[in-house]
Amino acid sequence: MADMPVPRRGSSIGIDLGTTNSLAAMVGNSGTADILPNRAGEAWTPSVISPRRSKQEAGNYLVGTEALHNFGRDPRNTIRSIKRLMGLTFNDPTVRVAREQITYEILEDPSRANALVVRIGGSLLTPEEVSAKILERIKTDAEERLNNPVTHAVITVPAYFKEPQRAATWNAGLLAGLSVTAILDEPTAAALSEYHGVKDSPARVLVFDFGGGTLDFSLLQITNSGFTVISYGGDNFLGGDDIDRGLARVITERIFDEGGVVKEDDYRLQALLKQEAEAAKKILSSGADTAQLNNIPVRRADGSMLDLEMELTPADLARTMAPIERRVREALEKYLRKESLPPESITDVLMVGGSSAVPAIQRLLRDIFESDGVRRVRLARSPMEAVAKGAALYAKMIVGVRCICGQENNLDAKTCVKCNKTLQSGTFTMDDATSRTITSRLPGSMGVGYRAGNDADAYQVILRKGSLYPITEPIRETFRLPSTLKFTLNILEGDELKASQNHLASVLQVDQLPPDVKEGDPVTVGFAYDRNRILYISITFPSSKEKFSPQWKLDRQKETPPDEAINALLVLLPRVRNFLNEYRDLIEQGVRLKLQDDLDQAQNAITTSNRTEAERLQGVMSRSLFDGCGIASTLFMAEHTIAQDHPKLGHAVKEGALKLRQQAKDRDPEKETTRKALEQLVTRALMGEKNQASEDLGNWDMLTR
Amino acid sequence: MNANGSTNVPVPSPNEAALERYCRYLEREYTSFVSSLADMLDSVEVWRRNAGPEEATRWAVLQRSVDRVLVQHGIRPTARQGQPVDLRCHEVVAMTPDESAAADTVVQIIQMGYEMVLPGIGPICLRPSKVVLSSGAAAEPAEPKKNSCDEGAIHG
Repeated sequence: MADMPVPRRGSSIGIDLGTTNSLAAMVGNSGTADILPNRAGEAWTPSVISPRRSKQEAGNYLVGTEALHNFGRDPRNTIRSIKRLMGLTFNDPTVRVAREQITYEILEDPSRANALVVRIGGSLLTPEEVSAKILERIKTDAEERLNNPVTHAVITVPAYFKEPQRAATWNAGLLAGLSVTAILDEPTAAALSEYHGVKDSPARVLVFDFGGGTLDFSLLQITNSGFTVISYGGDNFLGGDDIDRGLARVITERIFDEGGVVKEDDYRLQALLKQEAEAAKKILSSGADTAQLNNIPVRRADGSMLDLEMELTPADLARTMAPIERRVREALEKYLRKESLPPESITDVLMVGGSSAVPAIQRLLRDIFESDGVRRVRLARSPMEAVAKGAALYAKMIVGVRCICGQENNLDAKTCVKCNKTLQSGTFTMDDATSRTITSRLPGSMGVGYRAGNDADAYQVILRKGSLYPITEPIRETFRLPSTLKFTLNILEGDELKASQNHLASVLQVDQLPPDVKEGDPVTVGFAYDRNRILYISITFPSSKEKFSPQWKLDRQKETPPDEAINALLVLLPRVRNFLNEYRDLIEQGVRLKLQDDLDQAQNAITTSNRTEAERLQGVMSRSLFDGCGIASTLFMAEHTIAQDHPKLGHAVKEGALKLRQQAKDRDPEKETTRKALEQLVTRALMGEKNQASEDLGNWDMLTR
Repeated sequence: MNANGSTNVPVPSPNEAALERYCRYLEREYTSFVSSLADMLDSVEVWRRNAGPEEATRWAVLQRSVDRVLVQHGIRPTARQGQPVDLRCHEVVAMTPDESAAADTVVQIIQMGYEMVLPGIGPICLRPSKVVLSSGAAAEPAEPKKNSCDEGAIHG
């Protein structure tokens, strides 16, 4: 392979970031999408993180299979199903429901009102940071598999995800060190995987995605030129996990019959029962007559242990499935009714997701959609991998960005090489003419709240749900000016009739109006929306002779703002938060408060897109992190050195960090000597001075003996 | 090729691609075969435990024979009593206080797991062992008093 061209950028992969498991795929040389197994050789990486408890591994997190294996040991600190919390606020009703179903703690972020964080060990992490750790693991494993850096990714999200949830997913990708090419709807990805390259693909496909935690349906319009999601529905809290829970209840009943005890708060036994139920579901779904469960360790009321064995039968599965089938039917019929879709108006039903493999669910769908004898329902070729493979195909197809002037540009370019205009409003160019384009539609309406006569709660939609974007030419609506003192504009997202029932995205204020406008004059508000989901708002006063037209930019995708200083600050912010959480006890109170204050200012600089402040704060916080917090800074640097590819030195640094941590805790007077020696090792390691580092290792041995 | 005329990944020759596919196929088949065998061994273990002394000995002989064959083919069991937990191949299903065992060591194997050792690659976990760990002595001596700042400390 010596004559291979040197790649200018790394590989581009597709990632199905799932509620229960995540999966990566890439299009290989043959043109087909292949799954990229993780470091353990498994296709799926559990979307789970957990704190390390071993002293040897201090400061890091367990991710994936190891974290899942740790659940039985540390259920209160093992974070699962984080996707349910992405982009949501602390007071969101969905969060309240999620809290009843999970074993870890969800808290309000002490530094940001109504933002949520989860507790993991001694740290508080945002859902984006948790997802970033999962994505980071997927990226690293893919790089190991490909022996090539992975720089770009297409990440999939459910079609019903609203803008904040999509933006959070995008941010997670950025925090994981990925350049996110696109956020793609899961049903679109599944359909792409199934119908890519198929000439006579069906026109209206209902994608039925029954995964571990959610049930989603999406109606796709497929033409020779592209895929478009027309509508979607589903049940966010119905999935294969419910089948597992149902079967676990059957097992629990049997345990009671045998004199065993199952306590509600016995997370460990509950986890075991769920695993056994999952295994039984798979066996019974494959058509087996029985599923044998062996060696279930249960305690009797007197405290003695009971080694239980039992058999589950198809009748047990049917009993469990009955209420789930009912919920699936209800959700589906409600969706079809709401969208006025008679079953015969759908040309094909594509079943994806692991739970679609359960025969009872396939029978149910055939019952609904094939009553007229036309065969429409089919299971995807690889129901659990279709989404990741579709994302990989899309990642491969996108090769550049076409500017509105018609010039094709490199995918990473920010401005057009020909006209120098920003490429935010450009469209993706595909690798060949046969590639179908994927049209994005707004998942919800956007508009403004205003006073209409006596109604102070009126909502005027400007960009309608389902509109295709990018929208380069602003769509305008005209209102009457309520007052000449100042003009406040509430930017709202949602499809409810009243302004107060929709999500308030931003409040814009014009303090000084042109002098020649008066109350009741027209004011025109224009919305444009680019491919990176940034909303551009403009206001004009048609009756005024003054050329006064204020403009704003509402950036829902904060990770790629045009300003690099703000971008860098966005990456630095979670690091500083983690630093404060991790080393709080080692940082002097004054320094800690100052850093907390810097954090607040940084958040403000991002919100207001203040470039100068962002630059200043980036410098200030970086200095604090690497140099200004004494032992905490040394440990922070050491933690980063552990990740370097320098095993012997890495080991010494790790040992040193643990020793220093302990000495700091014990207030050992020797800690300053250790700190200096450790600092020397870390500097050598980071600067790559391996020879000098070997000498330092000798000194280190003497110091620590 | 992308817009810059560069490729995203090193392009293997057709023969290399075919070989890689074949290796993946073998890995998948091998894993599937061993998993099935491990399920069968679970049943043998249940029969052995429920059998009378004479029959139990016969089952034990069979188990040892199969284990030997597995080891000869690079497959080994992943759990033994007293071993410190290895989350790569140990799935913790419960914790139990045990004065005789150090914390985080295996005190009971609920289901044996297996790993395959590939030369040049290392061990690959084919199925994790389900284990119960010791949480140490039930009434541990009181730890040195921590101040409130310790909440943020690394677990240890």
